[in-house]
Amino acid sequence: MNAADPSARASSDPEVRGDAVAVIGNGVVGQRVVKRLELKGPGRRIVRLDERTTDLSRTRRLDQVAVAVLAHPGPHHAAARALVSRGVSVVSVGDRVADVDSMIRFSASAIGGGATLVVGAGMSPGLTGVIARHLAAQLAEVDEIHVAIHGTAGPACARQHHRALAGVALSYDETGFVTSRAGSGRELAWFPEPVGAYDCYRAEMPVARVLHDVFPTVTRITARMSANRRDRFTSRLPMLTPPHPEGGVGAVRVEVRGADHDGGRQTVIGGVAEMVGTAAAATAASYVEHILDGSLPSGLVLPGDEQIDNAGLLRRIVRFGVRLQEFTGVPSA
Amino acid sequence: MKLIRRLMAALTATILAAAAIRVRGSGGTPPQHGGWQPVDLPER
Repeated sequence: MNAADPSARASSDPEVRGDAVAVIGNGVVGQRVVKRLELKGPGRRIVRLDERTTDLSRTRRLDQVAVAVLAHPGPHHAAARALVSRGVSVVSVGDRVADVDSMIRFSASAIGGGATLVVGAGMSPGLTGVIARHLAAQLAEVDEIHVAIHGTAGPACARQHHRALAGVALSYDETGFVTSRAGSGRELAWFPEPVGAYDCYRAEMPVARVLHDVFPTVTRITARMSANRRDRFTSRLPMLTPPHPEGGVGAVRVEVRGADHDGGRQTVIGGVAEMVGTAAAATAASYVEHILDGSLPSGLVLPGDEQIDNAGLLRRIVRFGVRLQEFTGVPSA
Repeated sequence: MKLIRRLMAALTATILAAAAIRVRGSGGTPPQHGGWQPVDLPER
């Protein structure tokens, strides 16, 4: 299809769009998103596209599509820009810092036709933000959010995990965003069973960037990922072994510290232990359902956004097969 | 006999040191219950 083809114009009017959903990317996460959407809406049209062979700004296969899920290996910003500019809402599971930053920055000018752009709809960023908001609702004031993740989904996710340990880690404190060497800052994190305890390290993840936008008054935000000695030792080399088709059970752990209504210090901890691809797909599919039933506003939506129905979103994620857990028995400070 | 006396002295010193740490220590008792528990989200 060439640029002059008038039939290539897409409808940007949300009224004429149905509930068809496009899923771009056919990896572990993409396949599970499709399964969940088919389960939730039997008979719903799901368009599967490969961004490498399809011009997303022109293809007519997106004409009746309301929402597109970007589940291919990043970067996502070019595809997201092409889709939202033709009025298609976008749910991105991208987790590269520069990519997420780019999508957040262009969202103000590029979103048109009532489209919604969800940046960070995977396990992290994504589920971590939703859990952080759920935990923050139990406190009167939130000071600190600390996120730890363990595990990877498919091969693309494993490669991103490898890159993240060799990059520049981003955290936030009273002085602003702070960068550190990825692979530093070891901390033992106890994930929900059956994952248990793993040493976690700073890594190049966009969690602090995203959470600071939705929790602007929080003074400390950190993110770590689990790694073993071999991961850290070889992080600056090419991957020595081919990535596995899918990792084992992964986990996220979100710790929120703050004060209760009486001013007492409180720490609340939540998490999940689940296949990473399943958790990411459940989160992305829940955002899709939220867009389709009108629960999300148009414009940029970040995980943990105070303006959206976070509790409803979390219920949807749980219904898609992710078991939320909370840590109890924490000694008070 | 000398060896036995030394062993007894070492054992007594160890017991006394452990008892002192146990009684005077300020580390507190680690949590004896709790852990990860599934959360039931209320329906609206």
